Amino acid sequence: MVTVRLFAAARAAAGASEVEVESGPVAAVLAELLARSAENLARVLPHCAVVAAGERFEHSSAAVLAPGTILDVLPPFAGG
Amino acid sequence: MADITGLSVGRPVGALDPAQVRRYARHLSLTSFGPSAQEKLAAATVLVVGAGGLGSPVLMYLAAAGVGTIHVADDDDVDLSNLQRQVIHGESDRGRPKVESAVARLREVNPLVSVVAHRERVTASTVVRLVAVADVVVDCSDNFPTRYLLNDACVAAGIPCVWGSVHEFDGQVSVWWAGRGPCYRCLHPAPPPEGMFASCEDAGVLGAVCGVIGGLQATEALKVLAGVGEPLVGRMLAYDGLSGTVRAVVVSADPACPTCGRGRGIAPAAPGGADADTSDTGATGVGKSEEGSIEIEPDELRALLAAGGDVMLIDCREHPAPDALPGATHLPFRRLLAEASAVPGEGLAVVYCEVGRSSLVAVSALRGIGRPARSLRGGLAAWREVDALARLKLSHQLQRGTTMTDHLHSEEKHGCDCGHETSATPELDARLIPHEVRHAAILGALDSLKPGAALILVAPHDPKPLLAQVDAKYGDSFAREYVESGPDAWKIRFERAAIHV
Repeated sequence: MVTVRLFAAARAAAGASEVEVESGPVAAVLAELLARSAENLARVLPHCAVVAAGERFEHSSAAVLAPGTILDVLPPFAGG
Repeated sequence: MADITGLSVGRPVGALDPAQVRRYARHLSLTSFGPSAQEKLAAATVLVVGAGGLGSPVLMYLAAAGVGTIHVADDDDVDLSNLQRQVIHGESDRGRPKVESAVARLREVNPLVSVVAHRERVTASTVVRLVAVADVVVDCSDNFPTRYLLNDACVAAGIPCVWGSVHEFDGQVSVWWAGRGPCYRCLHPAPPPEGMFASCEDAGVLGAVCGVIGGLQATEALKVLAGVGEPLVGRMLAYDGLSGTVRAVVVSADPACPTCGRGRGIAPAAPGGADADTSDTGATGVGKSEEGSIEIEPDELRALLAAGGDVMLIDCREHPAPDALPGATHLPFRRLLAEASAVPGEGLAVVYCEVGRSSLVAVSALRGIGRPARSLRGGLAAWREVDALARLKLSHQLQRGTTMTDHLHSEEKHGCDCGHETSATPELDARLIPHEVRHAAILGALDSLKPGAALILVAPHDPKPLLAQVDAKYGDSFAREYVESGPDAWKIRFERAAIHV
């Protein structure tokens, strides 16, 4: 499994701060994340940075996330 | 022109004098800090951008700590609604420029430091000059364009940007320092669409969260300036005030980053286009979907189909229905999600459902595997509404002889040849106006009002009509703003106008 950690607006939209998803390509992990989360996440996710082990991935990436990977979903926000 | 107010009070050079030794005694007794670190602070110059929620604690801690020269840039004035979080300002500062109020407060906090006020906004043309003076920039700004400008300027200058950001109960902090770690664009290469993520003013923020994040920023700035500890480079701390948790995210420099990576030079150092000018808060684009945006407006889809565009229409409702759009392929939501990669073709797919929610999820999944896709905004319900409107001649009583439809579709007409001698209170039923032209319609209606006149507004999802009345006292200077971030989320702000609900 891949542990998807959701932050700030992504967490609020998904209604969870962590979601366990079957390991696989980044794109598949994100698709499953969407399917299993509240629908509002679909509005936020396209604008989020998706990061695993320090590396940012394109949402369409075919790079395979191994079991045990932590994938961080980080929405941008600019408030100050 | 920049309004630069210098405040220089006996800045020392070299060894600490007795007054400094007494003032900074608790720093000097820190084993890994000591006199040499304190002397570095005294010789340092920082630029703090923003004297608001984050800037307040940052400025006060940096001044109290004895950072020799502090430049502060902000173009805003102190408003009552700022005081819940912007603790550097007080009741008597209301209406005053924030930099002026901040300078006065900092003089009280520590008269040994110099504070230079820049009452101006950071723009593409000012950012290089502002950043050039600094050893470190502390980004306490409140908008994406400024943040990207500061990042790019810091990368170009080779200095660290101590970055913090807050939203509701959340905060993030990191030190972007190209050459030693990632820059901001390594994590977020480009700003999100305007209005996608609301500002503190719009979304709200728990004031004390600014203290948490600002305190972390001040700590990081002091560490970097004094050369102590391990700066927060290559890591971002994410604070969740509601659950009381802090999570660390590792972020590495992206070799392909357009600003600090190998791709450097391909993109301009200062961002162009939408993120270039921070002063542009015009209404363009409000309510309109852009090319490549995840949603498509009914009108835009209609135009696309009429032009014979290469579009694959997908009906993702559970069951096939007779009101499906002509030429649409029926692919139920769950199947679409499971078999996204099996969707035939490579061109743009437009997915719709009844109200535009399932389709949005489906589109995200399609985009996730690299397929260009957009969701019909508002779904078939909106499509039908616009369809009905296209046939409906709206004959509102805004002005005689001109139908509402004419008025809506000719933006250049606003406030010009409207011979509005009508004495009746005009009524604008926003429920009847398509989302994509509502903005123009309401502004147009407001523009055509005379002082003293009123306009009744019926919001799309609020049965209570709003009566907007132009205050005669302000006449032509009546300022109004209408903000709509989506079909379900809209508000109207009438400044200096009487509003009766």
